[in-house]
Formats: sequence, structure tokens, C-alpha cells
Amino acid sequence: MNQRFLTLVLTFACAFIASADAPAKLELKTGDRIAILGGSVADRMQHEGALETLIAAKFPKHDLVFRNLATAADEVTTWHRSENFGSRDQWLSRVKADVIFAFYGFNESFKGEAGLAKYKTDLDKFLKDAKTKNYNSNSAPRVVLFSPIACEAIKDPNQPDAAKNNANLAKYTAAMAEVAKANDVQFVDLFAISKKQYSKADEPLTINTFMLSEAGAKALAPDIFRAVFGDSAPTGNLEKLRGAIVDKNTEWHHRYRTVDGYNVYGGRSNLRFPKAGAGSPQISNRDIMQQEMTQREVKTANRDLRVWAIAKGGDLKVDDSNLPAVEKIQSNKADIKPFLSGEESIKHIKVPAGFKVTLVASEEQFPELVSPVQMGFDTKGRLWVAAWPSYPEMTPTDKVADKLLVFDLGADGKATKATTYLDNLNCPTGFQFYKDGVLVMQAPDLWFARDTDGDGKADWKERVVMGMDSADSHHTANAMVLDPGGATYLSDGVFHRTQVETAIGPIRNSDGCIYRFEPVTGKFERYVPYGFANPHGRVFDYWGNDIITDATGNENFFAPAFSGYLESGKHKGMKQFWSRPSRPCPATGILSSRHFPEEFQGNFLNLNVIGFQGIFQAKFSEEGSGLKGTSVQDLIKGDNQMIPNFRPIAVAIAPDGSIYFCDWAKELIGHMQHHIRDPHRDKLHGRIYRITFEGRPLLTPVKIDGQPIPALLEALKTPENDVRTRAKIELGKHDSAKVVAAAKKWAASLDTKDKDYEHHRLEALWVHQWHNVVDESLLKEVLRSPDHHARAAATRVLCYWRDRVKNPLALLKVQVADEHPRVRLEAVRACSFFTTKEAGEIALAVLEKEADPTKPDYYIKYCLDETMSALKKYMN
Amino acid sequence: MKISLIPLCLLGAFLTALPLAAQDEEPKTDDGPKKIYIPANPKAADYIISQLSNKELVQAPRVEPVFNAFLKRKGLDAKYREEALAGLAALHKTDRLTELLAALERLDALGSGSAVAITDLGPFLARSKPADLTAKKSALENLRAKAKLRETRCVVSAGLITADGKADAVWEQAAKDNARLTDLVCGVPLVMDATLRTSFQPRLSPLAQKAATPDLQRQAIQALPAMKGHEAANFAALASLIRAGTERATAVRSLLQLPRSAWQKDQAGPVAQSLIEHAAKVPTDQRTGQDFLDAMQLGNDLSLLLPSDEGRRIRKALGELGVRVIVLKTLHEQMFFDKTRLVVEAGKPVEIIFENPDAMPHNFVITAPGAREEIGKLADAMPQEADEEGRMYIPKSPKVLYGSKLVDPGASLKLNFTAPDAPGEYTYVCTFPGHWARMFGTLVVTTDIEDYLAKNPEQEAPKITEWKTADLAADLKRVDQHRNFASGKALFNSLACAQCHQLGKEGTAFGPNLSGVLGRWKNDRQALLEQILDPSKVIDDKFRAQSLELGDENFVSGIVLAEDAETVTVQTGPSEAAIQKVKKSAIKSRSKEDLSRMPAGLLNMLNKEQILDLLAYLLAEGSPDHAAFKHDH
Repeated sequence: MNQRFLTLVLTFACAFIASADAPAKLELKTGDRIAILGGSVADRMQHEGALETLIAAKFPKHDLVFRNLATAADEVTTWHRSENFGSRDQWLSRVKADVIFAFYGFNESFKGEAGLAKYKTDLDKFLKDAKTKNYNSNSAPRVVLFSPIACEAIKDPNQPDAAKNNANLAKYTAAMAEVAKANDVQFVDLFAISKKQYSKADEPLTINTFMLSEAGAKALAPDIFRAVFGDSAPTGNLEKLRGAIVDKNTEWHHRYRTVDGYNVYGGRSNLRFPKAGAGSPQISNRDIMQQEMTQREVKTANRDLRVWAIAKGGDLKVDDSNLPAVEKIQSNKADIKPFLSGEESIKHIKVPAGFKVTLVASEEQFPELVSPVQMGFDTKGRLWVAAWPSYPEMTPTDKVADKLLVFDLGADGKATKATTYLDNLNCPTGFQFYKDGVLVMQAPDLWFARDTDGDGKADWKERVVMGMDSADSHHTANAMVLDPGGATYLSDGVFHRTQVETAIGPIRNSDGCIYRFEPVTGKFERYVPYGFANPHGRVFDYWGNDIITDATGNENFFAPAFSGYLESGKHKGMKQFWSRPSRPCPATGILSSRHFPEEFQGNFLNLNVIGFQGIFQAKFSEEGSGLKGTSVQDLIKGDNQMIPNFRPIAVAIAPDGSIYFCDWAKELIGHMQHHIRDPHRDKLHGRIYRITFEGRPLLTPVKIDGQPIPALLEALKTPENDVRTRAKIELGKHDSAKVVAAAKKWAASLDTKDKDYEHHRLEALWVHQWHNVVDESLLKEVLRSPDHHARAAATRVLCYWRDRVKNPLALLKVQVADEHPRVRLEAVRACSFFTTKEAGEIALAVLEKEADPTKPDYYIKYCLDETMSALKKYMN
Repeated sequence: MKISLIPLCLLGAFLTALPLAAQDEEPKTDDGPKKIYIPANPKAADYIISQLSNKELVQAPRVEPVFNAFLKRKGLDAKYREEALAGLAALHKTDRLTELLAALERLDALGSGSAVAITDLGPFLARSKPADLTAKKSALENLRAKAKLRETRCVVSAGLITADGKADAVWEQAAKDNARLTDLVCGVPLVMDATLRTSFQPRLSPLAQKAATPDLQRQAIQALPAMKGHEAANFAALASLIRAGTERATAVRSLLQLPRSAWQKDQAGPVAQSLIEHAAKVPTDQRTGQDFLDAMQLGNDLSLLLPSDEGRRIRKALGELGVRVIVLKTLHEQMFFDKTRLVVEAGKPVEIIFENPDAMPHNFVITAPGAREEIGKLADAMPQEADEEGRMYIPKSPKVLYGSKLVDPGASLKLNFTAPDAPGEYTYVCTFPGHWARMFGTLVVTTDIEDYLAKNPEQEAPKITEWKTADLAADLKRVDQHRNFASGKALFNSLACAQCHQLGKEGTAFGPNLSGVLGRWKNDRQALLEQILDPSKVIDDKFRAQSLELGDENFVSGIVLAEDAETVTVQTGPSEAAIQKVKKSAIKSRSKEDLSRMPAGLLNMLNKEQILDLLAYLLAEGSPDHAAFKHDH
């Protein structure tokens, strides 16, 4: 009855005791529960476990419990999480924190001198508040405050400027020391520790100046240990212990950062469905998913036992037989039609005259081919497919995980062999080729994975972007198209609270957004923040025109006007460029293949999975500064009566010019219409089909893999978009200096009378962009190309080189007065990225070219509105 | 545990989060004159000006394009129009009237989009001195002759009448030409001088009964209510027009403008009866138009003059002719209709305004009782092809009683149908494949709606939107304009804001005073909205509830009003009766509460427009005269 009062007394007592001198070292007690807070340094600790391993080894009898609550880009006052995630206090209570390791200051430091005072106030409040809490129900947490690590100067022109960040980081570190001292809180100077280790290391210890590699974390850990405990760290081979710790942390990460949060704890977790058929009591998504979360917690605790056993010098086999049960639900869709075989289904897929569909692969031959969602051809001509059998996400007890598969294809285009490149994935929503490996989206991180020994399986992985939210698993970053200049894009949907730590400060967004990521430089930015439901389709056409599709409504946008810079918020509503016949659309493509007759070239392929289950085609035509779409004959159409589970979900053009597409092969597809754990969510089927044109020869694949630089440059003359992209991917493996030198030579040797000369020269410019090497004179040539498509594309390159080109605004001034509205549009867009009044004045000059100001070009007007609102604060 | 809290319902709307009342703290404003950038280039200047809000515009530097915008922009205070005329006159070294005529000419050239602005400028011309207008007579004549818009010609005609100071000469001149006469008649009500205006009565009165063109007749009928001292005669004239069915809609509108004191009881019955007879002939899909609604309004108003039985009979007859209009919406990303029950009268026409803010298309299908699943499954299996009526997924089945076209995301559609004759519980459902399982409601068909609702009150709460500040941020600029006062006021009352807050003289001072509340939030509407949406985010200490533990698991929870050495005065709810003194010796522990007394989610049952209306009501401090409630077009 008097617990409240008692607590109060205890709190005061503790506060009193704590107000002695700042503790020089942390004293751990048996059973202490240590919570870790902070940004990427703290977030990455759970994945490498270096410091935790040293602590566990040093205190084998303490049976310590570590729970990592960090998320890259967290600040002391931010908690950017999806709806109903739970507050920091709630989570600290949930893990019953006795000790808090708080790693703050990096993301805050980008506010510089101006933000320092507020940071000190915020930090002071955090430390004072902590003294009034009792997360473990009997005492205030003991806090250890860690400064940010320094940014590492890496001798690589693609890496960000470490010195600039370090000037701020040093100030923030000093401020933290001061605030910690004033609050009698132990402080660890990671800035100094990291600088010392960087100077001793032969190889960089970070992957991008601010995120420690595993080796980097191991290098710093002993010094951190000494700073925390005032004693030397244990030595010797602790890899077994570390393995057990990482395994435990992985389980915890699945729980704390569960994918599909909006359906596990957020708004749609409240959707209810009859538990055992019509009229029976209902059970919500939350009911079942929270039971699964409890299983995850028990699994984590089971793995703590093994960590303790190894720390004590023994070992044990993890036993998960104690997991509490999870309730089952009957399907609310009882009458599932039996699947026809992949081969039989073809009879029920209608195609126009001349077209022919054949089966490439199905689950009958390749049981691992289940629920394919993304596809792409690599430079060797192999077909890569992301398989997502666990959709909407894995259960804690699933035996089969999601995979990235690689198919070898025979001469007839059929799959001959499947290799699992990556296994044990959960929701692989996107992938894209990069250098000798592949970028793979697995929320919350984007990985770079490589196969270094050539056995076809990835054996090296690194998290390169952290913090992509997954509040709704099928809204998670996907459609990772490459633009012609080498950037890739991540399309993220509604309900999400993505936050990504970058070398120029944290990027945060609420709800839908497409992000732009340059793998070569690590630059990451909001590209189109917009009220998307879940953008899935994404293509760039022959000239680099950017088409974005929002899946739910199958809304298709000509994108330049809404991809300008916005400091915060999202772009206003935009018109669609094509009156699409129906929705929803999981993916788009462009039919760029001379295997098909001329009339089909460049057609926009728009896949649909409900009602109309097939592929629409539309033709682009020029309209003012933008494009207009006009529907033409459907490419394929499934017969819903016969194959209701036929769901074309991904499309790609093969090196031989044929079209490949994946059939997701599911009758239940929506998140909302059925319970997340409806047993009729199919986990057994998946198909890949191929479309050819009878009587026309297939293309001879252009050789890409292993080709020398000049041959790859010549491949850039190929009309097929995908061949040129693959050639540039392959060029990405080569040394940039050599590639750029060769590209210059190649551009100079081009036949100026070639009808495609302007495009070839543009490709040379794009190769420069791909390799992050500025060539101002080539840029200037293409900016004034006789072809407006090339001028528009070059204007976009100028936008991304604006910090490295002499007087970029003078160049934009010319572009904004261009004869062609598309070039003017790109120039107005580019202006939005500047921070000067002059940029606004140049953007406004576009009005001079409007023949009738009362009827302005739609996209130019839209883009000018957005640009001027972005620049408003510099104009007045 | 027993907590001495007053019932939740009493707590009502309680804004603890707001800063102290106005008298305690001078509102700090940061909206002094701002530097607004206006480019020198006229095209760029016009563009920048087009992007400015009215508030920004009036702070802009006084250059020619800004003055022009002052004359053109809707919803600006008259003083800025006056300033613009003076400013332009100074710039061009002319006079105010010259600039006014030039502005009218410019606006007229821009076409019908300027009609509101021209009408707004009308009084400026009409108020000019007759001598000044006389000096500009030829310019006025020229403008009248070449103006494209009726509004311009009316305004100019009022100027010409004012210049002349009497009716005769202008009338004789105009009478030769019907079009010119029509413009003149149209200008009469705009004349400021009541005597001069009313001197047209003898000329208008016959034209209202019979004129060379219908347009001229309508203008005459419209001018009648402006004739001072002739109200009784004009009532009779308008009443006879209505009964004869001559220019009925115009006559109804004019009659509604006449003061009630001029209405004659003996005419009320026959006019009302003629309106009933007329209304019965209007096709049901036109019964939601303005003309029909005006006629209903007049009929109702007239009925109040009649003996109670007769009046009731007329109101009932009118009521039966009205079409039930229901707004039905879809919920974004939820796959639900916003209502799960619609009640309509058997055999009577219904209009549904079906709005689809969702990202998917939806339709509206009425099925026979119990046939939802059957129809839904049939629709699932249908090919994606439109039927002869352009509809999709409407199975050909006798159990489909009505089916609409698909309504695209962001679009809306008016659905007109007649309710089934047989009372019962029908279903309405979206038959887009897969949606039927979830997206449906009950269409109750009854012979007596009032009776049904009395016996079956709404059980399910209206659909809830968990509003977030971001959902509304972009719309906050619309708080200033064209808001609905009645709606704001009704919401303020229905949400029980006044139970805990004072606004003006109304309300109870339990939570912070709402007068000048926006000023205290430095005019940051978003911050104010956030406080309403998330009352516990920032709680002013003065209004933070405390929990006092009294022993025996007894707690008192409320706001501490006062405290002395021995006692703490706590108010546990908004009424005076909820104030109690607690002896300090009885208090075992005290703690501050993290939750505001104001319930979160107050706005969840409202739509966006309602929220804006409520905010406008707060902004206006409950005054209907506030600019936010002006409707000038």
C-alpha cells in the first residue's frame, strides 16, 4: 500500500548517495541489467559485441544482461519511432535497466556551435531525470555517458570530410564532460580513444568515417573497457563468447526492432478477425503478434544462459522448448482455389498475337522459390530473385527463412540451377548490384554483401545504411532501381519513421518517402518525401526520365518536379501522368529490347495484382516539360477464374532481350483483409515466367562480365537500357581513375555524326557521375547539347555536382532560360538545393519563358512553387 | 484502490497544456512587419505575390504589383483596397477614381475569375462623390460599353446613377436598349443614397411583372428588396410572382430578403401551398440544389406566420419532399466506410455524397438483406471490365438493388437512388474485389426515421481518426478563411470545451483560459493544435494534476489551487463543488501526474473541416464577425 511512498524515499536516498564525487569507475553487481542507448555507435555494438564480450568475460559470475535499445541517428531528445512503439522510459522499464550506457552527441553535433547550449541543457535534463527513475523498481539507474567517436580521416576522395565534423565533435565531447561532471556521472571520452586507435591502425577502422567496422569496434573495445572499469580488459580468444553474444543480440534485435510494427503494436495491430470461422470470438493482430514478441523475449533470455555458461568457461545447448504458446487462427478465406502448376497456368495467361509465355522456374523444381518479390539480371547474365516465403514476416519459430537466390539459365532461358546467395533473411524487400557484390535491404538496415571466394554464396556483409523503418513490412524500402549516374533509390511507405545517420547529420522522415543513396560516397538524402501509401514501381527511361509509382492507388508520377530539396515536410499533391486502368501496382519496368518489334520499344510496363492480374502497357509522349502516358494493349492478363492466385510482381529484361517476370503466386495478399497470421497465407509457391516474340530472333547478349574497360564503354552504345546499366555496374568494379581516363578518350573518339552521338556522350558524363569524378568541361558540353533530353539530364548531373563545379548558378542561369521546358524544369529543381537568394532569382527567371503566365507549364509551376517555398527563408 | 475522481464525462475538454491565462502573460508576437521579397521583374513579382497569404501580402513593400494585388485579392480588408487606390494614384500622379476605373478595367479583362473582386470594389465607386463621378462620366460610359462582365457593368451603372443624382435622365437614355437597361437595373441596388435608389421603384415595379427579356425581369425582381419604404407592396408583388410561377427562383430569393415585418399573413398560406405544389414536381435528383433549398426555406419561414395546425401541415409536407442527403466517406488506408449504419425512409429519394479520400477506388452497392457475401464473392470473380453503365464489379443479380461506379482515390460522386419500398435491414458494401469482407454497413429502411432513431440510437461511435499534427499542418492556413461559424461553435459546445475552459465570458475556469490563446502560442497554430491533439505533451505546471495519497489506498487527484501551512486546496473537476481542502497531515505522499486532465483524442471524431472550424472559433474567440467566417463569394 505504501509502495509509492517507499519508492519516493528510496529515490531520494539514492539521489543523495549519488551526489558524492563522480564515480571514477563503474561497479557492477550480480544480475545487473545494462541498457544501451544512443546512435549508430551504440546500435552497431549489438551486432559486433566487442565491448559486451570483454565485460562478460571479465565478470563471469555476474550473469549480466545486456539489452540494446539504440537506434542509429538517435539523439538524447529524439525518439523517432513508428506509432505506439513505446517511449524510451517504457523500454528502459521493460528491460529493468540497472545500468545505462548512453552514447549521444554525434547526431547533435551537426547543429554546431549554435546547438551547443541546448545540447548541454538537454543532456543535463536527461542525467537529472535519470536520477529520479527506478526502471528496475528499486533504484535509480547508474548511468555511464559516452562521447561520440571521432570521425576518421580516410584517404579516399569519396569519403566525407572528417576534419569538419571533428571540430564540432570535439566541442560536443568537451561539453558532455562538463555536464557529466556537474551531475556526478561517469564519462568516457570515446573521441580521444578513437583518435588514438585511428592513428595506430594500418587500415581504416570505420567504413565511412563515422561507423566502426567490426575490426574497428574490436580495436577500440579494450580502451573503452579500461575507461569504464579502470582496469585492463581480458585478453585471449573470446570469439566463442562473442558468437554467443551476437546470437543473443540478434534475437533481441528481432524483438526490439521487429518489422511490421504497425501491425504488431501500431494502428493496424487492432484489426480483429474471427478466430475460428464466422461468428466466433475475434482475435487481433496484436493479440497474436505480442505473443510472438514474448516468444522472442524468452528466446533472448535462453541465449543469455549460454552467454553466462561460456563466460564461466563452460557451454550449453540453447533450449527453446520453454517458449509460451501462440494462439492459432482459422483463415477467414476458406475457399482457396487449388494452384494449377506453373506450366498449366500458362494456358490462362492471355498475351497479344506473336507473344509467347514460357515457364522459367517454379516451386515444383526449386522448392526454395517461394513468394518472389524482386528480380534482376547480373553482369554474368544470371537471374537474381528475392524470395519472401515468410511474408508478412518470420515467426519466432519459422524454420524456413527468406533468401536471395541466384538462378543459372540454360540456352532455352529456363532455370537450370538455383544457388542461395544469402539465407536467413527476414523480409528482403529490395536488392541492387554494386561493384562485385549486392546491396540488400533487410529492415532496418541496407547491407552490402559479397561473395569473396567465388562459391556463389555471400561470405562478407556490412551494414552501410542503418535506420530504414519497417512499420509495415510490405511498405519497407524496395524497388532499388539504379539511376544512370549510379545512385540507387529506396522507396519507403506510410506509417514509417525512418531515420538514417549520415556524415552530414541525421535524416529523418515520417511516412512515405523515396530516398536517394550513392553507394560510392555514402551520401543519403530524402529524394521525394510525399504522401505515398507505398511506392513500389520505379524506373528511369533511356534519357534518365524518372517515373515513380505508388502501389496502392497505382498512381504514376513524372517525378522531376517533386524531387527538389525540401528541408522538412513533404511535397504537395501531384497529378498523375497516365490515367491507369486499375490498381494496385507492385512494380514497373520499361520494355527496352529489340527482340520485340519497334512498336513496343520504350513501353512502360505496369504490373497489377488485384482484379486485373497482369501487365499493362503505356506509351510515353512528350507534353510540355513532362511526359504523358497513353494505354496500349495489355502485355499479359491472367484469367482470374482459373488462376486467381496469379500475381505478377516483378519484371526485368534479360540479356537476350526476353522479358522475365515473377509470379508471387498467392491467393491472400493484403495485409488488412486477413489476419497477419492467417494460415492460408501461402508459403509454398512461386513462379518465374518468360515472354518472347515468336519469329523474331533473341538478342545476342552483350558480353559484360570480366570485360576490359574499353569494351564496357562500347557497350554503352547499346540501345537496351539494362545492358548499359550492367556495363556501368561492371565498370564500377574497375579503378575509377582508369575508367574516367578511358571514358574521356572514348567520348572524344565518338563519331559526331552518329544519330545517337548525344546519348553516347551523355553516357560518358554519367560514367563520371557513377565514379564521383567531376569533369566540368564535359558537363558544360552536354549542358549545351543540341538534344534537349541530354541537356535536361546534364542539368541533373550539375545539380549533384553543384558543390564541386565553379559557379554552378551561372550555369543554371543558362539552363533556366533554355528553349525546352524539360531543361528549364530540371534547372528550377536544381535551384532548390541552394541556400542563396540568387538561386531563387534564377528559378524565378523561368517565368520569362512562359508564353502565357495564366496557363503555366504544370510541372514547372509545381516545381517553382516547391523551390520557392524551400528558398523562401533566403529571399526575404 | 479508490480514487476520488469525478466522473470522466465531467472532466470534459480540459486544456491543461496551455500557458497561463491572458491577463497573466502578455502575448509575445513575432509577426511585426516582415521583410517580404518582391522581385523587380513584373512577372516574377506577380508570381511571388500569388504565393503570399493575405497576411503576408499586407506586409509586403508598397510597390505597384502589390497595390494591384490589394485590389484583386479576395478577403482583404477594405482599408488595403483604399490604400492601394491612393498608392497607385500617387505612383501614377493621377487620382483615386482614375485608378479605381483602371483597376475595374484590368479585372474585367481577366474574365469571370475576377467577378468577386469587381463586386468587392463596387462600393468604392458607389461611395465616390457625385461631382467626381460626373467628371469621369465619359470614362464610366466607355467602361460600361466595353466591359465583358455583368458585374463590371452593374458597378459602373451604379456610378453613373450616382453621378446624375436622379433617375430620369439615365433611365431615358438606357431605355432605348434592353441590354443597357438591364445593366442599369442591376446597378440600382448598389447605389448608396437610399432616396436616389428608391426613386427607381415606380420604374422597377412594372418591369418585375413584365419585361422585354427574362434577364431584365430577373434584375428588376432582384432590385425590389432595395427599395426603402415599399416593402409591403413589393411583398405582394413577389408573392404573386411566386404563385404564378414567374421567375420563381429569383422571386423566392428576393422575398427572403424582405424584412419579416413586411410579410403579410394572408399571403403566407397560398404562397407556401404553391411552393409545395412546385416542389413536388421537381425531379428528385434536383432537390438538393440551391433553388430548391431556397424554396424550402421560404416555405418553412412562411409557415411560421400561420395558425399552428396549418403551419405544421405545411412543414410536414415540405419535409416529405426534401431529399435525405447523406455524406458517406471512406477511411484512408483502413478499408472502411466512415459510417456503419445509414437510415433512410422507405420508398423515398436519397442522395449520398460519396467521398473517397482513400488510396484505393471504392464503390457503393446496396444488396438485399443477407446477400453481402454472395454478391461480394460474385464480384471477386468478375473480370475488370466496365458494364454498359460504366460500372465495375457489379454482379448481375436481382440481389443487387443499387450499384455505383467506382470512385477513384480523392474523388467524390453524388449517388441518387430511391430507397427500397420494403422496410428492413439491407447492406451497403464496396464490391471491389476483396473489400466486401470488411467494407460494409447496414442500410436501415424504415417508414419513420425519427421513430426508428428514437428506438435505435446510434450505438457505434462514429469512426475515429487518430489525427496527428502532420495530417493537418498543411491545412492550417485555411483556418483564416471561409470557416463555418455555426459548425465551430457547435463543436466547441459538443466537445464540452466550455466545461473546463473560458472563452470570452463563456465557460468554466478549470483549465487555462482560451481567450487570446493563439497569441500565447505566438500564433503558432500548429503548436496549439498539437496541444489539443496531445494534451500531455506540455502541461503548464499550474494546471498539472497532483495525486495526493491519503492512506487506506485513498487518493485525491486534482489541480492544486492553493496551499498553506496546514491544508492543500484541490479541485478535482470543473465545478465549484469539486473543490476540497485536504489536511496536509492526512497526506501520505504527493506526486505530480504525467497525464493532462484534458482527454486526448478529442478531435478524433471530427473531420478536417470541422477541426479547422473549431480552430477558427478559438481564433475568433467565439466572435461570428471575425474575418475567418467571411464568405465573400
